[in-house]
Amino acid sequence: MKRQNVRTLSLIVCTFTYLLVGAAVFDALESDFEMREKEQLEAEEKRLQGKYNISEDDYKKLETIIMEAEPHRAGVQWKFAGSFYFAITVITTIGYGHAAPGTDAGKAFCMFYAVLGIPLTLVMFQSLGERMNTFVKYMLKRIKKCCGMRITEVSMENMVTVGFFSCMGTLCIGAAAFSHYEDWSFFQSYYYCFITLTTIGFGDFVALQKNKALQRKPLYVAFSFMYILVGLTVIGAFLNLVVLRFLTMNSEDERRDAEERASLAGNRSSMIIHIQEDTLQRSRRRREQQQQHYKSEVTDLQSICSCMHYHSHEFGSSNSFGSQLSPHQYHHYHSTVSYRIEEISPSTLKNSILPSPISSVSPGLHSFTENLRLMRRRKSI
Amino acid sequence: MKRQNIRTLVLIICTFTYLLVGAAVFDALESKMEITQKKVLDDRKRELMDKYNLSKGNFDELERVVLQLKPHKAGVQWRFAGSFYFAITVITTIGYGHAAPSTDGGKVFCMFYALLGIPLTLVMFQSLGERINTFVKYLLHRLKKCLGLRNTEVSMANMVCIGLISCMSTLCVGAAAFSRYEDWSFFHAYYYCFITLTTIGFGDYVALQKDNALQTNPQYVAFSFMYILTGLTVIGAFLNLVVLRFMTMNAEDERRDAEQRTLLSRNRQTGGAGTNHCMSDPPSSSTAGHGGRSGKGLCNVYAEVLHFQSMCSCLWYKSQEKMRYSIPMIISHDLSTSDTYMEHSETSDALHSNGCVCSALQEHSATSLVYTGLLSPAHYQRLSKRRSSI
Repeated sequence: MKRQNVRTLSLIVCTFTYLLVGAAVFDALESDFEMREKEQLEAEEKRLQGKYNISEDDYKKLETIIMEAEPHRAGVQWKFAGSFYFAITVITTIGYGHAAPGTDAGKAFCMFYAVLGIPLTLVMFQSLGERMNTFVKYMLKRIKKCCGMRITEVSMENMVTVGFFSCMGTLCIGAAAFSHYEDWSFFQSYYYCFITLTTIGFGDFVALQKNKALQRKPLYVAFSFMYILVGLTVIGAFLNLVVLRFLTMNSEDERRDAEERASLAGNRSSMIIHIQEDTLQRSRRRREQQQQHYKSEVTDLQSICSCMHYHSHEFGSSNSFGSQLSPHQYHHYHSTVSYRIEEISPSTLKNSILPSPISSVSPGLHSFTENLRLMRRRKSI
Repeated sequence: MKRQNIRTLVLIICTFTYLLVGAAVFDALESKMEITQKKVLDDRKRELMDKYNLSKGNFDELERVVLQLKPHKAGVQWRFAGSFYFAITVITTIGYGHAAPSTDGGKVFCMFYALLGIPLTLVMFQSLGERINTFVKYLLHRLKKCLGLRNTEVSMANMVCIGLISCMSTLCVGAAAFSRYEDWSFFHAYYYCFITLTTIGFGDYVALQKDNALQTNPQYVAFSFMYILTGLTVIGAFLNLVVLRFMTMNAEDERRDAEQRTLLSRNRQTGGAGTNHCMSDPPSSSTAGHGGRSGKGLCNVYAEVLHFQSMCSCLWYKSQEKMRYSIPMIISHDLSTSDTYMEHSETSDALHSNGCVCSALQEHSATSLVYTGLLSPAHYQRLSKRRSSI
């Protein structure tokens, strides 16, 4: 089976297994507590209902009132500061739910807002994250030079270590700050920061919901917003470093397969042409020594790898490059390049008057393709 | 400034502006309603308080109990079905919050669970999404063939159209199903599906919370789980098609820049002799050039590979002069990318523009041919560089 299919199937199986295992563990951890808490609360409820002698209907009404009033308890949610907070939770997909649009128009706008905002934010965080990684790599290199180390190259391990520590540092700073301002324990704050920065956003702990902070403490509000956005950037940088390459693996494999198919098809025809031309050339040169055909190919490469093959034509021919660079050739990639060269160079070898430079080249070519295959898998930073 | 930096700055500014605009609009849409709703609730609250002669303290007590009972009223949340539901909301980052770990152990496990689960899920959805896109592309190709269309190539526009339609239908199918099972209006059910599948997950609408569905309605439970996972795959496929390429843009540009720098430094080292060799050619070749055409046939051009670069394998052909014939030395230093180079090469003489050292051939037309060749592939390249094929 194709590599991409195997990969995808394994990932699906892994994820389902992961879900099952997680469900089992959460069940084991939380079920007992849930049962006990439920019993306690229901007993308490009954007691209070009896104490104040509230009828069933009225109690239901009371329940509804209390549930609906919940967001209001935390303060004004939709003034500018609160709306900005909400907008952040939408486009970063955190989605606490501490405030959710009540009007239908708000819901509709929320959907359109998300459709444009989420991709924008995704791209922005990845972009900024990549810039941060590049900067950190540069700084590390300078530090290594300053420290007088022999190897000044920054390896992937270095970057991953630094990234991991930045994430931990970000979480700890946030935990300290929020535990101070929100009066949570350090652990609860850390949990809040983690749930926020992974964009899960349960909403069991939400900042800026105490003491009307959204309206009264602009500095704390600004800090919270900046923390969320900066924290997401740091996490985004780490994801960019570690996870992003895996997201494109299937596409790269698919492209490579397409190249190989195309080059196999292309080479079948070009080989014949070469062979024909070779015999023609040899006979011609032996007779006339006039024209020398040569071909080197330029093929344009697509997005990730931009490379060119030169397709030079016979001198004096009116063929322009454009006509030769047919669209399908744009899809040729590394393997095509290496493959074609291996086909071309022996033919030019035969035609050459000075075989030595080329013969020295062709073994080089083989080693190049080897390197190429190795390098293709090696993901450089 | 480097292209990546400009891109990043523009994105940051765009996002902030987007947030400000969004905040203003939400304020305008929701503020008034919030104030009136609060007033209504306060009135009803006071009414009940008066009726039962409750003090504020009493009411707060009641309030606490009611709010804490809320998840319990919705059903058993942590049995296996509920836990599975919760696990889904964690690793897909939906995070409704309808149930959240109460114990400290649960919170800790939740964090570790998310740490491993979220990247796994991201990669899985993108992987599966890419497979779906490839399959759809194949089907579309076959369909085009069957229909006897002349152009059977599947374009990006085709794929995006199909992606959009699949997303819309997924949302509509979910909206229809949930509006029936959860007794929501179609619009609210659609809103729920949208908020779920974009992984925002407010939690204002949550499925499987009525009538103890998690325990009593296994088919509906299975449907909900499958819907969420399949829906996320469809959305993931669309994101894979449209958005993923933009997330790797900076890294690609950075790699290209690195290659250029390496190329430049390498050519400086090794190209010294070669370039001298090349530079000495013009005088002889120019005289020969005019005499020209007869010498053409005796010119040998050898294609020689200079070097490969890591991710981008660019072949630089360095053809060497053989004996007395000048041979075009096509050493393009930074053929791959910089826009400045491209602009430059268009305006200035190709022979001497930025490192593209082309000594004149006997055959002038060949040089111009090569030069044209340098330009037009570069031209195509610039166009196709941004065009990301499926």
